[in-house]
Amino acid sequence: MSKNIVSVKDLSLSFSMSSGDVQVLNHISLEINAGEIVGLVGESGSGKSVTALALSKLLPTDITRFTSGSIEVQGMDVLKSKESEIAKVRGNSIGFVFQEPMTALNPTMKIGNQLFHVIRRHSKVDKEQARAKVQEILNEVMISNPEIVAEQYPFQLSGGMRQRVVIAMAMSANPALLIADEPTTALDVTVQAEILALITKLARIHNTAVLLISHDLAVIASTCSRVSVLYAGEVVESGAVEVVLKDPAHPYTQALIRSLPDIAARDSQLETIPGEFPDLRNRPTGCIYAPRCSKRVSACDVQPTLELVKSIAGIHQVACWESGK
Amino acid sequence: MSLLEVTNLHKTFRLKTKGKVSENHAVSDVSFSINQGEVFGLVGESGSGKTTIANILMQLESSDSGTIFFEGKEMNTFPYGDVQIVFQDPRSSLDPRMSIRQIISEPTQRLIAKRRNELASEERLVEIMQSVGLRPEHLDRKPHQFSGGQRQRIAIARALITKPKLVVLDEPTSALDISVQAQVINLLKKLQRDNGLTYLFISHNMGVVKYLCDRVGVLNKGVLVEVGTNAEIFSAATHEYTKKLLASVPTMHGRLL
Repeated sequence: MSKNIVSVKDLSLSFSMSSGDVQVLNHISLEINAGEIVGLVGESGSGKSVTALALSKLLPTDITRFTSGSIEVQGMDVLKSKESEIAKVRGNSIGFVFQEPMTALNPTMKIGNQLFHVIRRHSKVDKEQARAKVQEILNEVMISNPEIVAEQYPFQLSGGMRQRVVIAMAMSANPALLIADEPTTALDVTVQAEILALITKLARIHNTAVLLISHDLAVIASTCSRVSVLYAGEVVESGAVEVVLKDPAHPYTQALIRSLPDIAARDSQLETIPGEFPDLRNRPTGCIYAPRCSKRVSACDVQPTLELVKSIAGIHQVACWESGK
Repeated sequence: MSLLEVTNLHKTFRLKTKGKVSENHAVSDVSFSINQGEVFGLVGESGSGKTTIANILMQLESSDSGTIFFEGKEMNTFPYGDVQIVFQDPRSSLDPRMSIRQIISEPTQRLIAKRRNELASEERLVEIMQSVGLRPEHLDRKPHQFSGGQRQRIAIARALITKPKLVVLDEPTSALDISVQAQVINLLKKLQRDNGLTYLFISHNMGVVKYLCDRVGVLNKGVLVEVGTNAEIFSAATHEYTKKLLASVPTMHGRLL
C-alpha cells in the first residue's frame, strides 16, 4: 500500500456573498496516494478548482467559510494550521500547474531566471547548484535545448513549451503532490498528448501524487487511475477510471458520457440533460441531481450518501438511491 | 452543386519587429468547395489558418490572392446577409448593452426597409426565438440574464435572421460545458436539416466534427493537407498529419499512453 498524501474528509465550504451564502462544496471526500494520478471531473461551477485551491488554503480568507470536514496533506492538518506553516507547504510539498501558462509565468523575466528564483526559494542550494538545476529540470521536462530556452522570454515560446516550463517549475522542489488544474485545456490536441505523457512520466519517476482536474472525460480516461465526478459541489461517483467511465452507476455520469458526440452515431440525437444547474444559494434538500434525473424515485427526497456499489468488486462509490443498490 | 468554391486562397501576415519583416503564411494556396446543404468541417490546430479563412469569407480580412465563387459567380463581396457567422464565445460576441431583440434584428439594419420589416417583424422574431429554443417573452432581456448555452442560441438566432445561404460556425461549442455543448450541437443539426442550411464548421474538436460534418478539410500551418468525406477522414486518412492529429485525440476507451 503506497503512502497516503492527500486525505480530504467530509469537506464543506461556502462563500459569503452579499446575496447570501453560496455552498460550493458539500461533504466531499478525496484520497490520493503517492504515485497515483487521480482525476476530478465536472462541468463549470461543480467545484473542481475550489477543491484544488482548498488543498493549500489558497481561497480568499475574507469570504470563505469551512463548515465541516478536514483536509490533510502529508499528514498536516491544513485547516487548523497557521498561514505561515501552510506557506511553507505551497511550492515545497504542493506544486501547481494551471490552465493558462502565459499567466503563470512572469512575462518580463527570462525562463532560466524565473526557474532559478523558484529553486533558490524552495531548495537549500547555492547559486551555482541552482543554475545547474535549471538545466537539469528543463531537460527533465523534455525541452531539447535548455540552454537556449533558459535565455528566452515566455512570449518567445509556444503554448506547449510554456506549459513544460510551468511543469518544470512546479516539479522543481520535488513536491509530494502536484495539482494540475486543466493543464491542457488551452493547448492543441497533439501538444495535449505530449503534456499528459510528461505529467504521467514525472509522477511515475518521482512517485508524486497528482490531482488532475479536467472537464474532458477523455483526458481523465487516458491519464488517471481513479476519478471522482463532481456535480454542484458534491462527489456523485468515484472509483477506478475503467469502471466509472465505462460502466457508470450515477445517472449524471451516465448522461454526461452519453452527451459526448465522440461515440454517438451520426444519425442519432445527442443525449442532453434536461433542466438547469441548481442554485447553490438554495440547495434543494434531498439528492442534488434529482430535479434533472430521469430515474428519480420518492427516496430521492432524502440526500443519498456516497456508498460502495455492491454489484462490483473493488472500490466504486456512488451517491444514488437507485443505482447504489 | 457547389455553393461556395474557394480556389488558391493566399494570405500572408507581415510583422515588422525592429525593422525586420517576418512573414507568416497563414493561408497558403487553399482550395475547397462546399456543396449546397452540406456541413463542411475545417479542422486544424491553433495557427493552422482556420479562423483566417473564416475571416476572409466574412470579409473581416482581405486575401492576398485567390478566387471565391458563390452560387457559381465570382464574388468580392457576398450579397448582404447571405453569409453569416457564429463566433466561439457568446460572452464576447453579444453587446451587453443591447436587448436580445436589438441583437437579433441588427443584421437586418442595412437592408432596404421592405426586406428589413419582413425579416425582423415581430412575428418572425418570435418564430426565430422558438426555433432556437428560447422563450419569445425574453426578447427584451439583456445578454447577462442568460446562461452560456442560451447566449450561443441568441448568436445563432442572430446569424439566421437574414435567411443566410451559408453559415460559418467558428468553434461554436468550444466555450461550452459538455452537456450544454450537446444541446447546441443538436440545435445546429436540427436547424440545418429543417432549413436546408449549408455550414462551414470550424473546430479543433474531432468528436464534434466527426458527429456533425459530411466532408472535412484538414489544415496544417496554412496548408489544406487533406479533404475527404467523413468516413474517408475518420477511418481511412491518408495524410501523415491527419493520422497524427487523430491519434492524439484522447478517447474514452483505451489509453492514450
